[in-house]
Amino acid sequence: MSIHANDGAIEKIAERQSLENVRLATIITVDKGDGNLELIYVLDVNGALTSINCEFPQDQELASLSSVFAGAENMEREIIDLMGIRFEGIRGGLFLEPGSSIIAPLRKQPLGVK
Amino acid sequence: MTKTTLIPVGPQHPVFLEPLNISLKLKEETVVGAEINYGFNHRGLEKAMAADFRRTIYMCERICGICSFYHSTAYCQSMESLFKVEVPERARFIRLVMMECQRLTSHTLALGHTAEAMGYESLFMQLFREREALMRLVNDISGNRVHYSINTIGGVRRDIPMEKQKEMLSVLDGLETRFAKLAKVFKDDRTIKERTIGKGVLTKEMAKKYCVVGPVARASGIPEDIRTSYCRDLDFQPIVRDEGDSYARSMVRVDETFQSIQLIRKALTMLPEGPLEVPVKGNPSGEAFIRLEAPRGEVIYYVKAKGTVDLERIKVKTPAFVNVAALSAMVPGCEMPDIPVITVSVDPCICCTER
Amino acid sequence: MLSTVFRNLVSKPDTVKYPYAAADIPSGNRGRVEWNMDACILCGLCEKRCPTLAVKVDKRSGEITVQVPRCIACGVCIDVCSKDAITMTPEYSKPCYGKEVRSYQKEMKTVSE
Repeated sequence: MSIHANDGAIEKIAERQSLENVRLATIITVDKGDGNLELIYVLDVNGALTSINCEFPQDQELASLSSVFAGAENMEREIIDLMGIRFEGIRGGLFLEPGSSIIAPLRKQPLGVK
Repeated sequence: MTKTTLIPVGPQHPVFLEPLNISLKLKEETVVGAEINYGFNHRGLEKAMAADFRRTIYMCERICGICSFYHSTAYCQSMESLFKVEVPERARFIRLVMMECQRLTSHTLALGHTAEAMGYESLFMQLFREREALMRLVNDISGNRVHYSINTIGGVRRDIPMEKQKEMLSVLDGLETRFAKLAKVFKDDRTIKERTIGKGVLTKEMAKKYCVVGPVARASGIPEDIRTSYCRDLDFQPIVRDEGDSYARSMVRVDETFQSIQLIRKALTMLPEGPLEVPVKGNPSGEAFIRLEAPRGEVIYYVKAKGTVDLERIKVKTPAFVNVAALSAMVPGCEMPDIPVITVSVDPCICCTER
Repeated sequence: MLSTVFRNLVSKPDTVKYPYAAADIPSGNRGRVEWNMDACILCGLCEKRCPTLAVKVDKRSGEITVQVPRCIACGVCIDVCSKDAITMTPEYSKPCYGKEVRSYQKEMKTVSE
């Protein structure tokens, strides 16, 4: 069992979900520019927006939230394509075609074509 | 002993206006599983929008042709929160009126499309005739049929003068009476009922799991509407139904059109006097989350800026992105001929979904 | 529904036979953009603020060129113009063979010796 950078965030979301009326609004990724990426889980808790952040080096694999929210799977697939982050057990190819598109176009320095 | 058959529906299918693919797993006529694929239309707008913050307003509008004003309003609101300016009350009300007008055009389009998917062509034509009166009205008020372009950072660029308000009210009165007749067809027609009631049920638990928003969530018994805070002075109550089927989703839209007409009337009587916009100076910095209730559900804008003309990152969450994904929970147990009606009842907007 | 059938039988069609008949465009519509070169002072604000880079202002020769297919009729140029030299008339752009480029020439005062 490997440890992921966002394990704490997912645990926090699952814990809140069991107690309150929580909906995952969206997942935002930001390229910090210094080799680190930031992941922001935006939650709707009882009608108000809250965010849970976590920061990690750009080549690390992350855990998926799809076991808590099934709707998170497509959001993660989008992030795989556009930001080049890997999620455990989730494959990309939703928006970009693997093999012929630019990899991670939303990063400050896109990784080029495979 | 039955075999499982795999049938692709789309990306090119007569009932879909935009490319969407559903891979259906069938056992005889019954659907046992489905995989939703989209991404045939990705334009990379999020990358293109991280540019000059003043030009981005017009690019935001072009994310989607049916909810364009919501996108520009959400973007302008997020910029206003970065600049820390308060929009004048008159501008806020004009935005509200135009947003509700666009909700009317969007819901009539969605309902007309549902009618067309069921093969009810004459209802579709009549809905679109009413919609045309509405389109002409918004064209006169804002200057364009689809991309209103009346938003600017700090307010709105066009006023609704007194004579236009009167014209608007008279058009809406006529529309309400004619639309009430069409709504009666939607509510009571036997064909529509048989094709939609009990089809494509999304239970409340599944709706929560798939994080659905907008009319799809409200038809599944989740009383969630961001307008409750935005229209705080208009005595707004969201319309909720518990069935969760295609019929409930259409009915939520039918009821919301009347609700929108009421909201426009109330907002026009309360329209305060005052300036239309406040000036903003300099470049934005900081980050902002803004959300609005678009016709399909919640739109979230995340904007990050670092004090330069170009924006650092802009992320758009669109309602159709989560709603379309929830189709895979709706279709199991249905029959193959019901798939188009169920899909259209979700109101899939691929422009929004893929940006 | 039956009343609708009879009404539709006797009523005129709801559509307009455009382009043979004039299009039904409301007066508030933004459409064709025009420059009044007598009022224009060639400040170049319209070029600077145009979101689609459709306008080019050549201060030296006093010429303004508009790439018509690029124009999205947003009306920003009208708002920023301090001399009110730009107007928009409710009119749709007509189909044409090439990408239409309109140009406006300002009479330049020639300095006589």
